[in-house]
Amino acid sequence: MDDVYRTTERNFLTLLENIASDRDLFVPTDKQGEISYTRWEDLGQSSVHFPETRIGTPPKVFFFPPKEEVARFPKDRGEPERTKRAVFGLKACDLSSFKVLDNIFLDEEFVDPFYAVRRHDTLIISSDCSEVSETCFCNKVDGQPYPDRDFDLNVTRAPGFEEFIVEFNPDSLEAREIYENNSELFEPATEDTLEKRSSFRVSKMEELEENNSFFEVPDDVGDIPPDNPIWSKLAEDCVECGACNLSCPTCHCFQLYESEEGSSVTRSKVWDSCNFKGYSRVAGGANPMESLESRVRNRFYDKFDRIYENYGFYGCTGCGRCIDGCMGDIDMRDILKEVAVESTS
Amino acid sequence: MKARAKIKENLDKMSNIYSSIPAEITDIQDESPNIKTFRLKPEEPFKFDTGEFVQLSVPGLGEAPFTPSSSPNVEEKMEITIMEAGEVTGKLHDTPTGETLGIRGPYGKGYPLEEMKGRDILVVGGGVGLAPLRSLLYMLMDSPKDYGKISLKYGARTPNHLIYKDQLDEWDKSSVIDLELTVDEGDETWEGNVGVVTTLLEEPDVDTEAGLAVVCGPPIMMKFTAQKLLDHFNPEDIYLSLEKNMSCGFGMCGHCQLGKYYVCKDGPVFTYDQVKGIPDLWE
Repeated sequence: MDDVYRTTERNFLTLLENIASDRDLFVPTDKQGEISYTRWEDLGQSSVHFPETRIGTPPKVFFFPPKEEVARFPKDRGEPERTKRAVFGLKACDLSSFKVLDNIFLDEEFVDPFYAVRRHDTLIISSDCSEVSETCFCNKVDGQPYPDRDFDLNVTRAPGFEEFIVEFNPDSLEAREIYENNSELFEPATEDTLEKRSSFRVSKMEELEENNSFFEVPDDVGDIPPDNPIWSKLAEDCVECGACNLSCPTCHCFQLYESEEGSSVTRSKVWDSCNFKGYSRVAGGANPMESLESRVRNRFYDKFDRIYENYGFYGCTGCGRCIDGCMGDIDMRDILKEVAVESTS
Repeated sequence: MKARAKIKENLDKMSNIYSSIPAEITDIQDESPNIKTFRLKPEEPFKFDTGEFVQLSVPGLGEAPFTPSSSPNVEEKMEITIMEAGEVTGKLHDTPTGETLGIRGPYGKGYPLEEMKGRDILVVGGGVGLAPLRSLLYMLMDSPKDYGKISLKYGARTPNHLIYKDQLDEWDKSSVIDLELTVDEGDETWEGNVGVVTTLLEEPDVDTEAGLAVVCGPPIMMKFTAQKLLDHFNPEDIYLSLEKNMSCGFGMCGHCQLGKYYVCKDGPVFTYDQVKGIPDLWE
């Protein structure tokens, strides 16, 4: 089979419907201007929204939910529940978050079985960015506004195009099966189609480059010590709400909590935030990251230095959700710019 | 999609890394006013290497990380020495023999026994920091011919705060280990050295060129001990046991980040060379 096909909006919706007959499908919807994921069967009167850019909810919620029971005691809970799922609407930045999450949760020595079965059982239908938001900067962290890997299906829908361009990942057995069951909905992409897609992609990348020409990601964020004024200035604006961590698609910190339910004890994995004061506190009260300066610095060090050094890619996808969500109006890009100035002076 | 293929290969062999097995407390030994040693009997065989750590839970309250103080060679008598420091350890100190705890692990990289073969070993402990070192010393003393000279310097706040007193007496008489003790503050019965443990390190009684040093104790003790040892040993021959907030124990929850490392996975035993220069190393 070829990898790239043309279809119509109506046929694409039929494809989603067919996928939903076999899987628990989540699609973006627009409810009074708020874009969020809705289960296909709960759509009711709402229609599928084709997101222009990444939506506010980070995709990690489908694989690493905010709270989940992971163990019971003394008798364990048994294996993770399995559900075949599909999610539509992820963008390229969302797909790059899997690089970080897979490295953490699918380690060589330890595998998180809850993350693993969800990752295995979830079909990913991504889409090109048709708009670039003011806070997007994927181009600065080795990304681009169109998916080029880690999707099962990708759809490109450019403004002014009549057609939808659907790419099936040749490495995905699931994608192949979906194509075979729905081949009547597609026509092979013409050279003209591919040409249109690629010039559309170039134009989006150019927009991103123009928007973000004011800064570069420095390679030595870790060298700026905790007592540098950059961090104290940042700490003045930070209200310690943790929105940056919670909305970040790669932030993976959690805390295990136990609670008693009758004769059984349950252990739950709950999202945590390095922005919170108690994050690094140990028994006895010592707390290496007690100061807000050290905590705000940690996030930058982790995303742009530690993860890069350990894995060879950035821990930041450039999605800009932390910028959108910050109550203190902190823009990561401004800080990176200051760090770059500081480290060359 | 590579991730999916990789998961598929392992789907059948995945175990639940978050679950603990029950372990009954079969004996409790008072070591000092705020330190007790718990002997545990895990429901299933529980293997570990010396210096690796476990997550011990008081069911319903929560977990805390500890390095067993017993020898990995003696499986039926696993011992964990615990200082009362926070919520979980406080509750543990009130828990009687016969109660059941949860245990999972082992985790981390323990003491590099292979690296130690044929070399002199200076072991420096402070307070409850002797706990993991006791496990190491048991291993070294099980096959003394494999190692060079073994020297132990151990310090505590007062004579009453020295742990494993019976064991220390035995070691004092043993020809396999050279033992020196010190206390910060003596009492009427104390005839030994008075002063912090670094006062015993001015002229180390081992071959510092070819030998190595292993240190475990409170952060402030580790900091000054490491500085003192650098006068004599190579930075890559000084082993430190570091502690951080740890929730998962296997490099996923993020809390124990130290510079580019996760203490739970890359440690808890590090060489000084690995961790020198990390901003919050001793905090």
